Amino acid sequence: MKASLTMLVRQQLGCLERILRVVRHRGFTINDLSVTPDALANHYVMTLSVESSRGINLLTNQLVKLFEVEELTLDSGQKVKGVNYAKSA
Amino acid sequence: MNGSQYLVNALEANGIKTLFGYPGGAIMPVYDALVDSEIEHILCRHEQGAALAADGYARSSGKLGVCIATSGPGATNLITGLANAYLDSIPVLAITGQVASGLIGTDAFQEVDILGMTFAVVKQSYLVEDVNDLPAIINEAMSIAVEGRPGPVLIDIPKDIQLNRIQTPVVQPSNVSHQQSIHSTASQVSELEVKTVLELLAKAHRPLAYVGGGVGIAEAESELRSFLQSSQIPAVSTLKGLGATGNYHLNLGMLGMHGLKAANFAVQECDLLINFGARFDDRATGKLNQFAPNAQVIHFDTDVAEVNKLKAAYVGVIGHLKSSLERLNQSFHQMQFDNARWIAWSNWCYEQKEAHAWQYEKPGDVIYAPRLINTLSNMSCSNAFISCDVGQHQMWVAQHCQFEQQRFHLSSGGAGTMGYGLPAAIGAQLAHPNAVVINVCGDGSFAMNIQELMTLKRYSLPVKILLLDNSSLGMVRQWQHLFFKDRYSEIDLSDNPDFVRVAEAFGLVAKRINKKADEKEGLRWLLQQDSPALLHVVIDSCENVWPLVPPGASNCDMLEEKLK
Ligand SMILES: Cc1ncc(C[n+]2csc(CCOP(=O)(O)OP(=O)(O)O)c2C)c(N)n1
Repeated sequence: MKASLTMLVRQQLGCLERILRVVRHRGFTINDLSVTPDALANHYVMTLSVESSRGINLLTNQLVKLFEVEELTLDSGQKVKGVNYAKSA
Repeated sequence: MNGSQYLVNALEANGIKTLFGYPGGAIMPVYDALVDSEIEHILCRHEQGAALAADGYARSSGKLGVCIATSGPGATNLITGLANAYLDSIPVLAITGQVASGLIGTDAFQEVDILGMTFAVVKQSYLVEDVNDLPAIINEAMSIAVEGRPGPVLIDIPKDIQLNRIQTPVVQPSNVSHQQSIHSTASQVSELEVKTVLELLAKAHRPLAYVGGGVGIAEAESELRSFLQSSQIPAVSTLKGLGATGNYHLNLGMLGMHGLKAANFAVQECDLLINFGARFDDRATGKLNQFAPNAQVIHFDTDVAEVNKLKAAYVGVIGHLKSSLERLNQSFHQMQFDNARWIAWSNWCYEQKEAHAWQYEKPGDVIYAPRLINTLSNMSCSNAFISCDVGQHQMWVAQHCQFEQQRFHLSSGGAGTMGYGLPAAIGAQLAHPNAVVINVCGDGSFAMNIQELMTLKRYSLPVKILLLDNSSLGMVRQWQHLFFKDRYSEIDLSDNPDFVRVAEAFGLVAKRINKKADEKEGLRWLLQQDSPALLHVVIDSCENVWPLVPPGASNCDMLEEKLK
């Protein structure tokens, strides 16, 4: 299973490590990754393409629990947390 | 006011009365601030003891437990305790000193990247970069630890930040009580979810409640009990769920690897499994695809990530268990539900429970640990706390003790941390100074945090230690016997010290029993002590825990004791 997702991440010490750790630990490999500071100060926009034998919900359900992850949108447009970033941007 | 003074004042203002810790270079300013504080600091003799004592304090009371350590080895020694709290969803705040900001990243003396090392075992963590961030960080950390699904939170504070003047020295008590608040989880149970649950119940012939630790954490035990009483649905419980159902007659006991036969049979047979705050842990489910094979699943949980993680739920009810159960109870009563459909099933479950009740008769003159533990449970008052370590004795406690509420049973479930019991008992005794607190431990586990006997003595904590000595790492021996063809490897502890003299050297009163005839008298002696005490119980070194579901097998394939 392959999926892409976009997250709006509050810039806080360790936030990127925290996210990448969850991705690895929950059994997903990263095919592509980009991180750009958002126009809004103190945020990153993080886009991830991942692959796993597990369902993507197992990852997104864990990612949305991270306090720094303010919005999470799947490439299908499905918003998993927060306001739909793709639309509001 | 400096950062350290602010921290200590903020903890105090937020109702923290007890801290478990150990001083050192990078945390000295905080220890200096503690000199002027009302907070009682408990000097544990190892930071692991401090972290596990904070866990025991929190687990037994529902309040936030706080531990504190210096940088480097002090901080790394906390990690096992944080993992323990993380895996069992216990609210713990850990505060660590760090080398001065400018030295971070230079491999300075006693510098470890504790933030980086603990990501996997905390709910949230902070490295403070500016003293003026402290107020917000402390408030947020305390709220996060207790809210929703609780867990450990770490604040790492560099030494210069501890000493810097803080510009806003006003300590603002946050409005959180540092106990669970029902309203903390945003999502509320929807009409549709409740309707679906009721529809499933209306069709079920063999419903079964599967009760986990989440019920007690959410303080939803009375709501659960009223649901069970009014529905007369049988219940099974996880290790952490023990006690949630009180003395409900259709409670079949613990399920899983060392579960009761009636409980495991019921899971195999049920056609509707209602999970209240459990997480389909492998020790509970056995081979997952053969767990509740005929059942549809309803899953009540506060953590969205638990629903559909391991077993698909027909309906997931996400939200605080107390409010979810209240909603369920209301709707259930309004419907005046007819449970005649499952009366035959409930009766069958009850018959299984009776038919497979424990037998405590054992030929011979030696002490039979299950009987001893059961006698302990019957002799001690109903609101005694029992903490255990990890191994066979832990399973005997789970099998043979009755708990009136979950919080009386302090057991390291998710992590299985040997050495948990003594520090946890210390934490529980400090949270409940007048309660009876008993630590049931094995000879292997006892040695893991034996240094905390000094803590017992120093603070005159009347913890009662029941040491079950089988001269071996019993649980590992049992597995080597059953699954490694009796090839015993590093499990022999027959050169144990004289535990009575060890205890006495630490200032405890101690006594030894080794005969069946002494079981009751020994326990009576232990329970009567009002200072720290140890009863050394010599048990058969070949005794095993039964029944047992082999790893990877289905819960219906329980191995039983072969009578000699
Ligand atoms: C810190 C830690 N190390 C190792 C283990 C693996 N382990 C599980 S049970 C056990 C034996 C425990 O022996 P003891 O405390 O004497 O209890 P018994 O099983 O004999 O009752 C061991 C080594 C563990 N759970 N925790």
